Amino acid sequence: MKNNPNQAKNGGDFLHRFLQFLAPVLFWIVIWEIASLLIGREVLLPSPLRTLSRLGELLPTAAFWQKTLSSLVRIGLGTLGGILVGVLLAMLTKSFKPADLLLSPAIRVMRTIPVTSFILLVLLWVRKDITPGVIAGMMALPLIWESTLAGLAAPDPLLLEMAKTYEMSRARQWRLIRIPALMPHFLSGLSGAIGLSWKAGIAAEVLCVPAMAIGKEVYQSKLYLETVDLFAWTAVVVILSLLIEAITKKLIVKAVAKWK
Amino acid sequence: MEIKNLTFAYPLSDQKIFDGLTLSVPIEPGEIVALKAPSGAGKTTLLRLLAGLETPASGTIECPPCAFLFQEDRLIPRLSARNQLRAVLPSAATDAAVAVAADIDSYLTLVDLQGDTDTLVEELSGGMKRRLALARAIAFAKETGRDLLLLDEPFTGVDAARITSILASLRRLNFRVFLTAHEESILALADRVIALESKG
Repeated sequence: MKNNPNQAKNGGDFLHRFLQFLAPVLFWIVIWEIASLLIGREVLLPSPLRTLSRLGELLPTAAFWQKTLSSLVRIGLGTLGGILVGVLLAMLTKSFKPADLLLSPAIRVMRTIPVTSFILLVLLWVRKDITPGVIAGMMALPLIWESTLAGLAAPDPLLLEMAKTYEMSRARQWRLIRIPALMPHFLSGLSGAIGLSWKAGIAAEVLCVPAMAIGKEVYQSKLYLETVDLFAWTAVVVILSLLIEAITKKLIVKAVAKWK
Repeated sequence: MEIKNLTFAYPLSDQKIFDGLTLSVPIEPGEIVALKAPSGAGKTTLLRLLAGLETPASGTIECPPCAFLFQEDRLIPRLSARNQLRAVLPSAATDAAVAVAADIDSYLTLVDLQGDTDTLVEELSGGMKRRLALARAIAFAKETGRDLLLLDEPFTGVDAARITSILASLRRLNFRVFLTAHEESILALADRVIALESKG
């Protein structure tokens, strides 16, 4: 039986891509292991194996999943709120000049304020279990506002003139011209907003220490010098962050292809 | 159509496109009148003024309601040929979907696009897109009861046989057609040619 040259090529490509991904990861794990051996004190730098082992102990527990889901829901709802408000404010900014004059500088300043300042301020005004969601929303809002605004300005003016000349209803103009022009911009902003909101939300949980939260576990492990736990929970944050970004990117690429 | 003492310049431009232009263009039903002018003389501007898309600085324009064909195709991305027409037809919003579809297909047949009713606009050639834009203008005129068509360079990229056929159909449908063209072959097919010599 002859070997299929295409199969051999595809297998080779996959192995090459897998090695390209795995090699840097393995390299840095080895560096981490060497560093932990050289330092020799787990309280300062636990080894990768110790961290993985601790993660293995946490994963089967109900408490782990409760805290993880709780953080995801808390931050997810806040992000959704930020997205909705960002879209509404963008439409307001586009439609009314006074709104543009008032909102544009305020939202641009929002993007420059350090996250920790935001967290400490919001903590003064709302309950600590709500603060991370509010922070996630406040991180998403400027990105969504800016990308939606760009999308609202995107429709081809020649098409809009055609629509007006042919007396197309506003509903049809929106459905056939404005929304398709808006979507690639909005989806691009959404991708950035989701990643940023997740990270800022976790940072807020560390500072606010709400009950049933990943951020609380990170804070307490630092407080009690349980460095292995700190590394394990940080790994959870990183893995979830990568998963959220990967899933969001995949969904957005699909959606953008539909609107292009 | 009547134009009296028309003066027009584009915003932010000192140069007047028209300065005191007076023109009378009576068109009978079923008649095709062509506007001939060198490039840059203002053919497109004149049509846009007649269609009410531009406002003159001074003078008066009398023109009945019309359907306008832009110099660019201005077709909506990702829509099929049939849906390009549905998008501008008021009756497409009702539930008489089958009847509307039959009418739309007849407009596409008029421009020889009957085999591409479900083809996306991105998959059409330049000439096909031009014919589709023309079909849209004709469909809009018919559905809104307008018998005047103002067509800016309607046959760019369209072959001679199809041009003859389309013009014959427009005559048969009793449209009054005012079009711009610079090709002598198209001007020769019109019933009358009006020359716009220079600006103003």
